[in-house]
Amino acid sequence: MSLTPNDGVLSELLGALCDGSITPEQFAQLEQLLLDSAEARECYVNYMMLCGELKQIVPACPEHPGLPPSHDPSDSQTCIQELKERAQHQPEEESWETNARENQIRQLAEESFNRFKEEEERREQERLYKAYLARRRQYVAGLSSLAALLAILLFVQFAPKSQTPTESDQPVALPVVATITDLSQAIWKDDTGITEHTELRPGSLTLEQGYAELTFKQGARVLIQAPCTFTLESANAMALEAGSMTANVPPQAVGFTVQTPWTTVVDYGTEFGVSTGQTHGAEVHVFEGTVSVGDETSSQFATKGQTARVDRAGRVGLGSLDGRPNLFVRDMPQAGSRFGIPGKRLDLADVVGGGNGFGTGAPGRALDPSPGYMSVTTRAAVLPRGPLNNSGVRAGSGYIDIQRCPFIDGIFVPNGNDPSTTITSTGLVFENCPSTHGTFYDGIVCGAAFDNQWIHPGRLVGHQYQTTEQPSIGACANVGITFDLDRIGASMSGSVISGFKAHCGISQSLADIQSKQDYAAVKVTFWVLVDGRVAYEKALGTDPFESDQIDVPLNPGDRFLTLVTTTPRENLYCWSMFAEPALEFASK
Amino acid sequence: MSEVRKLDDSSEASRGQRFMHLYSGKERSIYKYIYTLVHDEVAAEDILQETTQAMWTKFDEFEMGTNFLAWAVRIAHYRVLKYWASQTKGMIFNSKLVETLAERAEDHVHQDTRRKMALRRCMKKLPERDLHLIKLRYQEGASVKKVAEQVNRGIKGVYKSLSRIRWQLLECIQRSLVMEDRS
Repeated sequence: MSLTPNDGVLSELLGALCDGSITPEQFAQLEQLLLDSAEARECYVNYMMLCGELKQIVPACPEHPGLPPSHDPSDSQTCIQELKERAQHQPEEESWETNARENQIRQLAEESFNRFKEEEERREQERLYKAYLARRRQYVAGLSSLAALLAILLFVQFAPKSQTPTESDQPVALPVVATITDLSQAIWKDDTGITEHTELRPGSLTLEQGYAELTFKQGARVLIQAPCTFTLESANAMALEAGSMTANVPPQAVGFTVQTPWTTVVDYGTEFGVSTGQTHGAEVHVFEGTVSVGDETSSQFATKGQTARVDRAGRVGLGSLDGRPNLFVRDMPQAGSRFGIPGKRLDLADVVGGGNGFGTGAPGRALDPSPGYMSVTTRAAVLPRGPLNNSGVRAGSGYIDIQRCPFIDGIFVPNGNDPSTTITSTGLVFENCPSTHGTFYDGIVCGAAFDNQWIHPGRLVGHQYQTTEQPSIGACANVGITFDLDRIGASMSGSVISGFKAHCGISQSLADIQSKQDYAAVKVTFWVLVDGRVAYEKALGTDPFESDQIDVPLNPGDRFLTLVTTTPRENLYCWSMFAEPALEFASK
Repeated sequence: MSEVRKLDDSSEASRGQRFMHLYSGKERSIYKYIYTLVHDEVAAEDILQETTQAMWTKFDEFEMGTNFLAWAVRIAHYRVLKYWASQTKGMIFNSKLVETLAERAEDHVHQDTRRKMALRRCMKKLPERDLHLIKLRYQEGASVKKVAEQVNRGIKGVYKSLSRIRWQLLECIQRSLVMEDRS
């Protein structure tokens, strides 16, 4: 701090500032000086720090500050003497003020803590319960337990003497953390008596069938899809042991946390879905906003349009939602509006449509088993065809392994004339596949509809099958599709696939556009294979229109379910379809 | 992941003790930091209270073994900014200036000990009349008006004297530090 021409001015201004006599003009002048010069700023800080120091060492003078100002010179002398003596000591020997200060601090700390305690009483209870849970479950995050433990022990330390410490084994009366806001065909494990508007407290629940929507006290809205086992932890946190759910988190509930056995998802104001199971780790799809996925040591952010897949070691990999099937139901379906009922039966037509089997697929979506074409197309993308003289027909070529839909293993065109007809990605074949022309129309379609302009929905036994309530798979001969039961089963942890059911036949809407003589000779054979073994085989015709019920039981070891349609003749008017194709579940 | 992490101390009475152990001795520095930025003794006291409360509330977030003062200064800084934001009239420094001053103030706060010792040495050198004035000015509840009455002088004169004394102390501290560095 060297002498500058402004020293006198600066000194005067700083003095005025410290003594409260500074005028607005002087203040502006001071501000300007400070803005202009680093030295002035240095001065300022030194000066202010000095004033601060003086303020603190002087009042601690032994002379009681409350005493009226004494004009007795000897008094002031004594004090000055004291002050001088004190000043000679090393700063470390501050014990003469430590006690007073310590008491002040302790008092301040206790006051603050009491205020804190009052405000946080409810959260204290929840943390107690969390600590209780932590001793029972293997995968609670260490941090929250630590906070809980600290909370318990703090509570013990500062609680009034008359209160005995709370035993953490017996949780205090638990607060309501969520309310049921909607249900659809919901069946719970252990008859819980849950209905709409039921208030829920922390604890575990298992939904065996249907859907349940819960709204947490802090605002997060969660749609649970059966089969699902989950635990409510607090007004803004839950654990998902197995199953799928979607969460919609408004701003006031940011920080909503879902813990799975493999990872923790924390929400930053979003809509996302989480699915987890014993065998396949966890999968998170982010529809809006951002979430973090991971644990205390490392986590990643996933945003809108991204997926995060977590393996059983807790490693997080990010991906894109594009082309991934719609794994999650985001809104509660209206009662009876969907053929697929979680925990009860899965709609395979919905799976063909890119959905999860419960109505998230897109009707009209078609799988195309010919080479050179996209293996997945939609109605709009299908090329217009010429008159029914085979110009729209396409040939197959081998097995097409569909990677993007985990529930579908692949598609193919069956032809006994080929050296062999592969029907799974593992190389299983359709032995004794009948001879066909090796061509097909339209592919495998979600929602059977036929004819050039797609205006004739599939119809069997007088029923029209083209909706989510009454779905169907359009399978104009000759096509085949294989579903991966392992993947489907894994996503439905807690349930076991018990069988496959469907109606099959040639659509009666054929009669709407063609005359009987044109189609009377049409015959299509419907096949169901399980791991390459024929479990069902039926030839059905159009004169009269025949249809049949398929009921194939399935065992836990069965991995691949294949549906095939074949015709020995030219595949004209082969409007074959599977209606209400369902995988049925039984509880474990 | 299944084990609850062990706490450092066996009894939890020590949380309060640990806090006080870290806090006492730093309180001054935190006050000085705040005062330097808000240049109002009353406001600085209030903000110090808020800061202390916040530090106590957030004490679990503090990592034992790291710099407690630096952590405290951060919390104080936030509250200083909040204070400034709530001041609609009165004399407020330009916000960039506050930021710059805050940086310098934090540096100072970390070098406190040397300056404190230098201050004590310098105070010993003050003429008694000057020391008396300082003592009166910095008593609890003092005002310059009261001081002027106590020493039977005009208020303007008292302002000037105080200003001069502090500046002298400042210069003395600076020289003292420079001499220390040289020796």
